[in-house]
Amino acid sequence: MTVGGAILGAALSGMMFSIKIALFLVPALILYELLAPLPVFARCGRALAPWLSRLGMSPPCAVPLVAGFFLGIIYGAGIIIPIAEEKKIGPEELHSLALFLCTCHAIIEDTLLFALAGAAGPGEVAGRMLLLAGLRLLLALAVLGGRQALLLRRGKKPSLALD
Amino acid sequence: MESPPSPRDRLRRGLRRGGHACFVLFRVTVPTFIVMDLLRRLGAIDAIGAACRPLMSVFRLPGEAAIPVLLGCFINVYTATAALGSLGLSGGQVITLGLMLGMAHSLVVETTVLKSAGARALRLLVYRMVMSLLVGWAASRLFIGSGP
Repeated sequence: MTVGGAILGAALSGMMFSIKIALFLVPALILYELLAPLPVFARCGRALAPWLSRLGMSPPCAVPLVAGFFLGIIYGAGIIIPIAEEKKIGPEELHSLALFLCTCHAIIEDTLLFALAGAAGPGEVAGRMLLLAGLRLLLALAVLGGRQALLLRRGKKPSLALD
Repeated sequence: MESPPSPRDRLRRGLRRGGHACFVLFRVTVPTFIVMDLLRRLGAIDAIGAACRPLMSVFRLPGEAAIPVLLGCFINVYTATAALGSLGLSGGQVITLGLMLGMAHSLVVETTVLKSAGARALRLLVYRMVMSLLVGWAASRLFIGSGP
């Protein structure tokens, strides 16, 4: 096989791979944009508040948390940076928020990319996505819950206050 | 407060994000596949694989899997996925790598972003890398049958 032929072949399989991923990625992103403003999600946000405090965050953290969780740190930064600059969020809380987002972010795009690599069909993709997303969320909750428990045991006032 | 965007605006934004993601995907995947193919023909993939085998075997992964890990950490998830796709790994291996890369990717860009948001970025960076190794080890025991 000639060098040109080899390059063409590799380019073609790269394109096929991209198309396969795009077929899932584009509808998923559109669906997210369309569903995000539904009132159900606002209610979820309010329901989140008591859980947030258990993880060392106050209600103003909810918006950047959700943005980073679904869209990723870089997309979410547009929301995170201004809120952090307004000092609505103390440094301890910001650390909790960042810790959570480092463990678990861009839950749609990133997990979908990994789920698609070498998957046999839509069923396997969905199964892998749920597995990856679920595990990362559990891990984030465990890390933050553990950190709060540790801070409490040390007798420190659990976050929320500016230090 | 600005008025909430209409469904039409939402649709447009979704399409724009989807289009942008596709553009990134194509721009990154096609060259990655070509370079990976070239490297394979030159024997470089085998060499990297052999060099990284001892380290990657901790995670029950082939040595070549070090390539998507490094690409993911230093560049981004798209490049890593493209390299992943060209290696032909098993489902359990992809899950393990997905979790490892999920914890630690685009480290340069994301750490910069976190730093500019005022977070303790260096500590978070260390946390991510350590967690990635721990999660990778745990996932390999769960999802990859007893290794080679």
